[in-house]
Amino acid sequence: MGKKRKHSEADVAATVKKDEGAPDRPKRTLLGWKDKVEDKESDSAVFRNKEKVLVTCSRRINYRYRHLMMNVVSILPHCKKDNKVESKESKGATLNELVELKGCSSCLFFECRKQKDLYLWMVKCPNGPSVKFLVNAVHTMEELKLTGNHLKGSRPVLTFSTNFDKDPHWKLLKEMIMQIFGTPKDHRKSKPYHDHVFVFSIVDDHIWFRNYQISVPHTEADKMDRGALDKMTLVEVGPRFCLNPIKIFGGSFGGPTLYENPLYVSPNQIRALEKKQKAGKYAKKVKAKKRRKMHEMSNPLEPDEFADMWKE
Amino acid sequence: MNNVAVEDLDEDHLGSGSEPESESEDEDVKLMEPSTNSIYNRDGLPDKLGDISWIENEEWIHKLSLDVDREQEVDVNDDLARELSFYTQALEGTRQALMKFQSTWLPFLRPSHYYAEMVKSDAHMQKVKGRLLSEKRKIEEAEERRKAREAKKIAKEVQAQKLKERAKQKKEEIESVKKWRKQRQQSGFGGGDKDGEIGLSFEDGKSFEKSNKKRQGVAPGDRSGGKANQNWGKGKKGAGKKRKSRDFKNSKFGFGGRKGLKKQNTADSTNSLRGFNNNNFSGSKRGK
Repeated sequence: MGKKRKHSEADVAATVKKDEGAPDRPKRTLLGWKDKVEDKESDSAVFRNKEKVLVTCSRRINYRYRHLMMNVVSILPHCKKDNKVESKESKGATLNELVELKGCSSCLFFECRKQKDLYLWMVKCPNGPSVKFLVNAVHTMEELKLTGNHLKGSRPVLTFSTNFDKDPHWKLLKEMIMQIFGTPKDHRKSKPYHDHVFVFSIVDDHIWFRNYQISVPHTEADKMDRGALDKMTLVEVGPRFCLNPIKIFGGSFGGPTLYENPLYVSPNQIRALEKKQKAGKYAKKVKAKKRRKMHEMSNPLEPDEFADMWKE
Repeated sequence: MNNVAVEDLDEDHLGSGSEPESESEDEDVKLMEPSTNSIYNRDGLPDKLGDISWIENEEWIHKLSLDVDREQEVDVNDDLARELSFYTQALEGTRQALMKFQSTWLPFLRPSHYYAEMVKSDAHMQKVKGRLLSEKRKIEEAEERRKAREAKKIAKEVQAQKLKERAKQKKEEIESVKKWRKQRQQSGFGGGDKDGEIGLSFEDGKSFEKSNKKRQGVAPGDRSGGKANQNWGKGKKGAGKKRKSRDFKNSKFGFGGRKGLKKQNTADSTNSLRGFNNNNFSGSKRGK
């Protein structure tokens, strides 16, 4: 303990004397000689985006949603795909551990219930907020109508509609989406050139996702031809989905609820209501008939003048 | 009917007051929002946002995100308008992004010789191409069929018109000959100068106008009317079929057809050795 104090004092003294002119001796460390210059660079905090996303799904997932997950894996080069998670383990604690184990900073968990409804969890670990979405309107990349194609691993351009800045919960979602769906700059698996663009826009309180390939006529890699901006076309690559936010939690996979969507109705409820609507069909019919009869009896028709015109 | 439906639902109501009420209208289920139930932690949200967000004025090249304004409200159910709004948002965003990229002097557009793994496999893109081509072909075929139909209609009309004209012409000519004969009779087969006064319609010189149809030069002794060698140069396959057409038969046998299989030879057919050389090896008829 004493030694340490002395050392640090000496260090302070050394730095004080620095501007006296003589070039410094490189500091001796265990690993070798370390120049002062290096210290300065790391001090200025070059921002390194070390985002890593873990992508998993629950068991008993539908084929369409599984393909959606595979598509998401292919468009995010900074993700790690993991095995299917047992349904009991999707309650939070085990998933957190899994994410820690894999060394990831966020997670996209595709949870499929009843093989019909897909819920997407977007979570920032270890103690970041998490959001649960209901996913609708899924179109995967394999559809032949989505004809575009782009480089696998190229960094996307993210576009958000301006209504993301209207409310705090949208702002939070925007930040999360930007961090999860944006590929880090010098990631190992990322490729150069930017040739596709993601679109996130809020319509009817749902977040719609689209992915387009940018095709602009050009001859050189670092600048466009004159007037090429007007000839730029976008071809849809896919996938497509629509997210309906259900709840935002303060912790990862749980925690205090920060936001609850008032307009959200669970798909189970919708199905139940539809069934109820159809349930009373027969009873309603019988009632309607009875009502008609009562009405007829209470308001008798006047005898028709021409009733026995054609009588034999 | 609808009134009854609503009444029934109210009677069977579950009694969960805080749950959203549902009013069913035909197939859609319309829901009202619970006014007081939903949690909205307006203070906690920005705190969390501060927790996770990166350093404030980080370079744009890390974020690569843009905000695009959407001018008009889009109806969710109108597919075309919705997709169009997404497309315009993307277009506007990419324009801004490309301007920014250009100012960084870094390569951002993929050169055409850059081959790397794409997000969709080549086999898949072949399928896409096949589908696009087949669609194009279908459209083209439909177009062609429609055009052919139209052309056929028009051609038929033109044909009918032509036939009518020809019949009219023929009639007129016959009428004019009759008139001429009558006039001649009436004038009592008079002298030559009187004939010259009567305007004879068929001597106008117009009736010898050539028709547009190409007709090959016919040799005087040719009984087939020039149609025997018509397709000789064109092709051997078509020649057989063409020879049986109505025009050919008319020219060869005259109006009225074959007339009993007599006199089939034309100048060319007498001179041709069609059936002789092939039967060299078919064996002699008599042993001699």
